[in-house]
Amino acid sequence: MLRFEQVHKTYAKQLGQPPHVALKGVSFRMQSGETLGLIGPNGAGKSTSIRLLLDFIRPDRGTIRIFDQPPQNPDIRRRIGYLPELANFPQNVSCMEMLRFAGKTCRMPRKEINAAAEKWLNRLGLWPERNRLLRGFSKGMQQRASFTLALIHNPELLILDEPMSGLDPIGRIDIVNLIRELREEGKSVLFCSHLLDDIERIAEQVLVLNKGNVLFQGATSDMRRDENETLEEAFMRLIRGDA
Amino acid sequence: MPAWHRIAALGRIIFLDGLRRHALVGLVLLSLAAEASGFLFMDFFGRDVGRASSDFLFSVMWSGGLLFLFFHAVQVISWDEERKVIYTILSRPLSRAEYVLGVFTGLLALLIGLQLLLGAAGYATLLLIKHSLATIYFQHLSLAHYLLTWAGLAAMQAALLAVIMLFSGMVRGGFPVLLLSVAYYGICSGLPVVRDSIDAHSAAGYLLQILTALFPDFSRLDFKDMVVSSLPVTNGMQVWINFGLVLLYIGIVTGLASRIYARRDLQ
Repeated sequence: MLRFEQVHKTYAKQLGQPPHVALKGVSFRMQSGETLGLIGPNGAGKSTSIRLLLDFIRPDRGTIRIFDQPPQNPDIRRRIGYLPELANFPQNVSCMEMLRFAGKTCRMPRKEINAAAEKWLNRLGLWPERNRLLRGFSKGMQQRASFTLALIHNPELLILDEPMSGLDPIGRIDIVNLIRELREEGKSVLFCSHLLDDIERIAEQVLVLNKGNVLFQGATSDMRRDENETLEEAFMRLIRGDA
Repeated sequence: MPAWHRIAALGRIIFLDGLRRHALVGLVLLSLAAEASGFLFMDFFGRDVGRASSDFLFSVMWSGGLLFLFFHAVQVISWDEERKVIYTILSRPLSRAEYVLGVFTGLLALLIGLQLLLGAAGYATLLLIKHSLATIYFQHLSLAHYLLTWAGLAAMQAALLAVIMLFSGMVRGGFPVLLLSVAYYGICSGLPVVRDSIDAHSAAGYLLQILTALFPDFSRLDFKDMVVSSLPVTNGMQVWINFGLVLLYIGIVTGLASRIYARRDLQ
């Protein structure tokens, strides 16, 4: 479903800043129906990997394939739902207007858009707010609105960048349950988070990145050296070993 | 689904977002108030009131459009990038070219909407002025010529919008786009004056002639003088050729803007 092969990415020199090497030959694969958690410290290359997958940026070298297509093909994004780390919308439109836009870009008929919008807005507690302008939404509400946008077209692959960002504890539990439901429906989920608890609760597979290198890819349980080692300890061991 | 459906969907979002911006609502109200002040303005003129009033109203329309272009349109793409809204938009099945064309379509709809409103209010103002004066002070008002002048103004500003899209794809940030756009407008306005003062058959004359393809002479679509004249449009075919050239220019520039934006890293 998703393949990274020897992907290199360096951000060009900015005024007063040297070039920044973000990925150094990263390779990994993700199978259909899998839940892959992307973890690593700040600057590890998690967000760069996600931006490359969505064609926001292009690799210097290497191959990326999603559904056997290069990310430059916009049609594959009909099968992808993306949740950015921070919900970002045009401020003067309503949630419903954004959902209609999202549905139309995915060839959905109006009736289908309205039904899907009602389903997801109700599920995420935003139905009464559907016609309110997004600039009046709290951070948590914007994050939930962003989730509805990612799910409106029933995508096969969900790419979630810090999905718990800006949510209160109740909201976090709700989103964890939602991701589990989606996983049970057979959707593939790629998500990055710095919260190891969330990774442990949601992901079957984990990919550890540090300074643009892959330190580990495999089952979450295999990351631990023994039963007594916590995921946090295993993560720290891998990071220190790399340093 | 044809691309135009996706372009129209994005254009609608850009249009709605702009329509609800308080700054743009303020611009519309200010422009309408300026047009209404045409009633006072005409009192400063003892004769040729029609021409003076018409010039004044078209100047208000032109200024309103320029304010929209230089204070709203130049910022839309850079706002999308700075606030990361572009990630939300481009995570949909939209190509970069469709994004540029969608933004252009939305902004063009706002610009045309603004000019339609100001154009209608301007014509109503001219009619009221004409009826409040004796015929000797304001002899003729032609709706056809008024519409032609309005279309010329709208075409010129649409071309300027296309150039703003091009600059928005070439450089990051609203302020550099504003500076480039103002410089472009300045060159377009100044080039005909320089060209007229130089021998057309000299090397410099030829060079300036070539530069006109890059920096078009907007005065070719300025028909203000005809609004209050009873004369027919002189050289009618040339007028349509000029409109055709502007449309071609808009097509080429937006196509170029799309190609340039498709190559960019959205960091």
